[in-house]
Amino acid sequence: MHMRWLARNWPYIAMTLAIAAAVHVASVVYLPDLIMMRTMAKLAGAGGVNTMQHGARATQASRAVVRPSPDLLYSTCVYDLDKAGGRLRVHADGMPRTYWSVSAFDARTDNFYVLDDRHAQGGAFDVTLAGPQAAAHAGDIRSPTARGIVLVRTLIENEARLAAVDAARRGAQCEPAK
Amino acid sequence: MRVVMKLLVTAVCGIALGLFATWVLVVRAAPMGGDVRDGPWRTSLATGSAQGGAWLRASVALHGLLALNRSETIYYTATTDRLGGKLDAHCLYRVVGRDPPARWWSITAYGPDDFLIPNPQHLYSVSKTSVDRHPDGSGFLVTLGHDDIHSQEIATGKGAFSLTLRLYNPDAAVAADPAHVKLPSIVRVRCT
Repeated sequence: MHMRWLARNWPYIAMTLAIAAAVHVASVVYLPDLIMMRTMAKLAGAGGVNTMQHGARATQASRAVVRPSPDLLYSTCVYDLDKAGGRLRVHADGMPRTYWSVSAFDARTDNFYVLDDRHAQGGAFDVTLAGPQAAAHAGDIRSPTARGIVLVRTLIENEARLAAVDAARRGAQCEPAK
Repeated sequence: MRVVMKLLVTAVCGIALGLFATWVLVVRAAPMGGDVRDGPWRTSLATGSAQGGAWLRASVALHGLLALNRSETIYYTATTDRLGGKLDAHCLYRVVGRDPPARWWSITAYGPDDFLIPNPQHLYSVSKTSVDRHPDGSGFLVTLGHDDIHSQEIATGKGAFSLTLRLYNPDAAVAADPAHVKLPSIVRVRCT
């Protein structure tokens, strides 16, 4: 009975497995894009794109990005290089004397750029992202996709310095490059 | 009509099976599905880099989005204690060890939803600079869950939880061989 059922229905069984394999691969491949789209929408919020937003310290109420660190202050710039005219400047002056890093993630979640305080001069950084098709200037960092997220992490090394560290990291900015 | 029905059932079953496979292999898989083990701690060499395959990228997007690459930060995640038992908020644990070789480190607990575990005292993490050390300064001890004996605690919620150990600016030897680093031990004390 089972064998006859199998013999009669094998094309459908094969088709089911083929569809399952295709759906599985497609969902795995596109999941990062979907998650980034959702995250960029959440982080941009009312502030919009191509502007730095300085998030409050992570607590149990923080739900924008998974596994946030409560020991870091996160500043985010959701960027859209098409809307920025092709290039986006990310800069800060007077970052606090603690661990900090500025990193860039493309729309596929890949981390394509990172700079930390040990490699920056005097608490300052000034980098420009160029879109995949944009005319880049010397020194520009090429973003693999037009959209993505720049994330500035600043460490709260000492609770007593929280207010000063928070004030200093607010100097980090992003805007369309001139 | 019968053929149309069969095709419809085929399509529905295929889609359901494909999504189920994704749920099992990516969504339910251990956080930061690491390929490198150091005791109960797992990490992945490809986190944050473009070299990660589609499955790793999907897993990181779900459980560790916006993670940095390993030259900047190494993220170890533990879902079990040192003997392999699943971390469970009904149990009390102690994390004991010495400073891992990095400029700065922290241990943070997360709930099954990958977010910080709600608790009124905001006991989410300890770090190199906040941890209570032994009087001689050599090592540290952190309690996971509520303990009557006063010691530094991280709240663990009500059910399963996991820990992330972050090493910021790890020593070069750690980035080169993250499976053989002396990491804190997670010891189960008792369960209720």
